[in-house]
Amino acid sequence: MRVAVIGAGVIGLSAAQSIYEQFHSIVSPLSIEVYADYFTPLTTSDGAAGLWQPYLYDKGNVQETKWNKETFDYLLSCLRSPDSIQMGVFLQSGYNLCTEPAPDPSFKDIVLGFRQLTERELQMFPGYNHGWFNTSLMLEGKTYLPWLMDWLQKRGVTFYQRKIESFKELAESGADVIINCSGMRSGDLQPDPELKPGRGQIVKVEAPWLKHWIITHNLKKGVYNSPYIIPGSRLVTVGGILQFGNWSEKNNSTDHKYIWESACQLEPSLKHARIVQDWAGLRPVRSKVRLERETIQSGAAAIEVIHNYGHGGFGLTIHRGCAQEAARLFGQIVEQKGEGPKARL
Amino acid sequence: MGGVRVVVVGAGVVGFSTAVCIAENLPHVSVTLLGEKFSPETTSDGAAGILFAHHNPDVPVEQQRRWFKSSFDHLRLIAQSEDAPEAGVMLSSGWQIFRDVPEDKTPYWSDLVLGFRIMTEREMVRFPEHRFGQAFTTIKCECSRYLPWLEKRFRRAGGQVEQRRVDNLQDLSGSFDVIVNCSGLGSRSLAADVSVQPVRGQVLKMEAPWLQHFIWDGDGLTYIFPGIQGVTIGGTRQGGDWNLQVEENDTRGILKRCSSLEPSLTRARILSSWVGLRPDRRTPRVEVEREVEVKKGGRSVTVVHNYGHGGIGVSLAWGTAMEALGLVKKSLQGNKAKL
Repeated sequence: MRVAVIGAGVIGLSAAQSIYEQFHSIVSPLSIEVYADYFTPLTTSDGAAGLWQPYLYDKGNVQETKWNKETFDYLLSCLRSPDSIQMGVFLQSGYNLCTEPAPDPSFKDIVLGFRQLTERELQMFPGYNHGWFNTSLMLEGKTYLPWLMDWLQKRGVTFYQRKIESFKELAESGADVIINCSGMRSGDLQPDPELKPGRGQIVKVEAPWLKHWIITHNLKKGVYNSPYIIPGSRLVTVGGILQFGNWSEKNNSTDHKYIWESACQLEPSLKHARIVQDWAGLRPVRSKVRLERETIQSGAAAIEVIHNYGHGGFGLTIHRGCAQEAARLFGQIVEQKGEGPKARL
Repeated sequence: MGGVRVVVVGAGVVGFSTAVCIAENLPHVSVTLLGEKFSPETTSDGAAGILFAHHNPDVPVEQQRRWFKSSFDHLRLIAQSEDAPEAGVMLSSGWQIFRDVPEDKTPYWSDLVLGFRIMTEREMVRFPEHRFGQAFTTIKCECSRYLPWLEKRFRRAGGQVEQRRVDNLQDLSGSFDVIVNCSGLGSRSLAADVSVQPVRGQVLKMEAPWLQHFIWDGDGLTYIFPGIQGVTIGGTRQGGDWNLQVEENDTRGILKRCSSLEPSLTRARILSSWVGLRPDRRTPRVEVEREVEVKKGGRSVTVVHNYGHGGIGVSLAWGTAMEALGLVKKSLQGNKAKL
């Protein structure tokens, strides 16, 4: 079988990985090809800070919470692996701050050591009177993506730098199944009014004395529109912008000023941090993740597509759970096409 | 009363903390700090500087609490300020883990640090050989930055600094009215106190920027402390050992013990190694020695001691410095009464 994955961000690469892991000894031959116009370090996943943390409340979307948890547990198990450093995964603790009392977040039982902030801790953050402390995981895209590509390359997965214009194009060239992980640009392949850009801008700085993330939440302004400071292994990501419908990937100086001033208020020591880089990216925001099969009729042929896009600002957080689900859907197609182990009896 | 002249002997964290406390709180006295060695060559410089303590059964708990709280609160304000990076002071979260459940599950400082709690079962899974743990947030104070920052603060408060080896406190009684002895191990001769013993400690500094939490084994011997420019791992506790050379055996032992707590350390590069001698004593000595009478002119010179902090100098420096300040103040008032 020939599998074509569109997209080389964390979603595309991890989907390729899960499919390989589960089917390379079942389907023979199994060729997996990844097509993308951008590869690491230029993908959306590369710009993200890399903190595992879903939105505060899942609003009843238990499916996504399940995928988030699967991803967390998977990454936690990777910590003791000899590959952990090359994967870019490590533990980090930090503060989630609210300006008013709020219900506990949906992820409280998934992360480690979740607790309420004490009075003395809240005193460190004037203007915030409620919040939580917990230990979570970091997964740095700039490290994880190269590791994934290397993992895939060693197992015979091939990569093509090319913008795919249509599913038909790939089907005609012989792909049996297409995994659509095209993130923000999925609309180019198939219009989706629910998919909108959630533009973010960040500043990366050198501040190695900071070891905790500090994320503020303003329930009125909405998610990611409140300052956050997330230390990484080498640089600290400072942000706090989400602009719906803004397609610009250029850095904006007004946004920079807003981010920088509010972050320095939150963490005065930032005033002495060396600014390394500004970056803007488009979160592929959707009401919920689109992770489902679609059989597209193209003349006499039927094109099997598995959609896996619309992960908003939580792609790294949810990637493994989605990849495993995509592999499960792939398994259905394998059964249908009679390529599975049963077919061999 | 004419200009009172105070001299502080010792340029480590205790010496500079004491000098700053006196200079900032007693603006009418002149304060001079004399040190043989300055940062980065003091004992304080190699210390990881994590604020943390073990209960000392020979010191009243209230006094230990007072010292620790004073140090913690003072440094916490610096950690939250713009000065944090220059002063080398930062918040640090992590875990103290025990192979056997300790008798005292909530030590005297547990309400003085931030967010102290017992570790959950899921958190303990990472440490299969340990059965109990505590999680909290404390302060890390890196003396290679903190001491130069304190020196700036001291000079701003009018303090004078001089590099000079002092062989005898008596030599200073001609030029000063109050002598504050913060000479650590040097007090063996300066205060004729042989109860101060070196406890040798070796540490390694590792390049492991992915480590964000401290891990401290309740045995007191094995620890991992991520800092601003590297992760300090250790250690050793060799009583009565004056050897300042880095020992290969100790390096291997430290790497083995720390890697079993944090396997990723086996893939970290060693940046440097260091040996320091903790100025250990049964209790830190913070007190006035009987007033030394000087033969000339019938003056009396007060000696205040502030030494013997063992391996918790950074943790107790500010608190004991404030205590020493109190003793200096009392002695100055006492002298006034005599005039």
